[in-house]
Amino acid sequence: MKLQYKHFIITVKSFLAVIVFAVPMYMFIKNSYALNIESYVVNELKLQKALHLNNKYDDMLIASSKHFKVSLDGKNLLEDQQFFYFKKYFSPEQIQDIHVELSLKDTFSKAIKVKKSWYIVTFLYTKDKRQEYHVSITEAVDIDRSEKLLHRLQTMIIISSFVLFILSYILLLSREKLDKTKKEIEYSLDKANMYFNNAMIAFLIVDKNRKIISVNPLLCKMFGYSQEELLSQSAEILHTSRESYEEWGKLVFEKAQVNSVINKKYQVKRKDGELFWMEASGAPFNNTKEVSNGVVWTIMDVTEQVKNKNTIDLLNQSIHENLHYLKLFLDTAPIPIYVNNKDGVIIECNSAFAKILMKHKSDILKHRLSNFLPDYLVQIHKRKDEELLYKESIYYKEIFGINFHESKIYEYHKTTIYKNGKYDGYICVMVDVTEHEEQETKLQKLVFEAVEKNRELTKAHEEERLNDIKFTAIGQLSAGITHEINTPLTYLKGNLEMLTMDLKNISDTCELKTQLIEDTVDMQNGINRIASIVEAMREMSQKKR
Amino acid sequence: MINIAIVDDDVQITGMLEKFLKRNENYRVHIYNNPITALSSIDKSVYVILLDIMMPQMNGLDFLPKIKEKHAHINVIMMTAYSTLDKVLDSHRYGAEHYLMKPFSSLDAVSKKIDEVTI
Repeated sequence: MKLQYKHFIITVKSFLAVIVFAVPMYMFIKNSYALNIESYVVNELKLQKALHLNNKYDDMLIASSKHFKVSLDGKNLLEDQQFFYFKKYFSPEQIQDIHVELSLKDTFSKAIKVKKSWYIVTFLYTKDKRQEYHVSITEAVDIDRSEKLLHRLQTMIIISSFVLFILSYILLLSREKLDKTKKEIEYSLDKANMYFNNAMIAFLIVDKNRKIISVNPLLCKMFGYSQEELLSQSAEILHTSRESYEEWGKLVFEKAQVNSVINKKYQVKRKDGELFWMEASGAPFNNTKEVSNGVVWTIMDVTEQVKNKNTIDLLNQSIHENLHYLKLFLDTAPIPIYVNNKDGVIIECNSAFAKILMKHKSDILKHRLSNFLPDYLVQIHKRKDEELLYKESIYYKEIFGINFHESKIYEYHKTTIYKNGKYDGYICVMVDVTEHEEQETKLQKLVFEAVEKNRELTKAHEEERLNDIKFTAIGQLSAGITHEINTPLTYLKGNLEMLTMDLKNISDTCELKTQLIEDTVDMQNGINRIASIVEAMREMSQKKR
Repeated sequence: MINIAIVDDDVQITGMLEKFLKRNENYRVHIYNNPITALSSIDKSVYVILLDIMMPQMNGLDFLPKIKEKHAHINVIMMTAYSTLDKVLDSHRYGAEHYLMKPFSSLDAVSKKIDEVTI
């Protein structure tokens, strides 16, 4: 739709151009002839009138050729064979008009149509000696030809207009395309500028003399300069020293001018004097005349990268050292250690392991453990190793020995090694537990004895506890009995005492009084005995408690 | 005239003691078989209380501080049919003047204790 609208606009513009150019042309040409023809027509009417008044000029001739003269009498003045009687082509009114016209001025021109062709005829009016009017046709122009010329011109103007229209259309289309191309170029230029200015990588363009031609904002930010401070300056401003600048020139800049791309890390300097590492990639750019006009550098701040690399190098060095110490440590460790790969081949072992196999380390590596052990042990270890396929670690105790008499009991600690999440073998640490096992047996015996002793003690303690409970119960029972017996004894003893006192206070001294007093004494003794028994029971119960 | 109160749940003991103490004309004896009643009834005229320890309504060791708080001047002689060292110590700690074990060694021993606190 947009395209159609544009075409419509172009068409209208072209059409207007044609109108502006062709129409005035056409009008000018047309008018120049049309005016003459019109004047001839007007004059023709006047001549007709004039001729009408003088009939004696009826035989007036008119010729059709371009150059001829004819007398009014029409007898001997003809220079051309083609002539016609004037009156045949003019009505009486027309002839009269010519006559009137001739009466007003001596000469005039008129357009006359003869056999469908128009001619411009110039009439000359004179008087002879006899004072008669003579009308001579002094000039006749074939206006038919002019008309044809006019038509031809009109046709040419139309064709020219059409051509002009086409040309205008093409021109406008071309201009449209040109504008579009120009806009695209401008857009591309803007885009290129935008990329250049907003790129996350710093750009530095220097000429062959190492003068800075162009920089992008990131480079300015990286080095701490403004664009104005850098442009037209020598690239030396970015280097740590003159020597560094010259060294860079020899090392890299000269090569970068020749080679397509060159890449190097180098230490440079910021405006504030801070040094940092850059990674510069350079590519030459060519001008039309010169082979190499300079280099486009893309620069990245790789200070962190360099630091990280240094750290990694240090770490690597540290790892190598640690690995060395680890190997040393493993080798000097008194515990046998070996590493099996996933195929069951020993890939690493320490000296302690070599010692129990009574082999040299080089004779063990790249061999299977089964090569050094009796078959029954090989089968046991094989079954255990199969468990490692679905367990991260196992440990078990088993004898290890090349011959039966020198066998020792070892505790095998096997830990799986994974590589990329897949089983890649295991590391086995062998702990000699022979002595430990013996000690454990002894310890188990001791523990058994201790448990037995403890069981006996517990039994005794339980009996004691039961006795204590019994004594407590007895004590509580004694307390209750003591209380319950002592209470009646109290008033029994008191009343008996009062009875004795009363008996003693009786003044009569008879045998019965004496006998009663003796009885009370016996009763008192019995009560005292009961009280003593109860008191003894109380004391005993309290002691037990 | 000395007012003596006997507080013991056993009627026969209180009766026996009442009979014995009334033989002394200087004594006026008040009997209380319920310690709770005794706590509310004993007034400042009472000078000596013979107080049993093991009573079902209220323990004599609980009664002692309460009556001492109410009437600090009263002298209390504790009595018990089952004596332990703890009871003796507690009695003295709560302010008892003397401690008598049942059965009494003699009724004179009771008179002597009363005399000791009244002199």
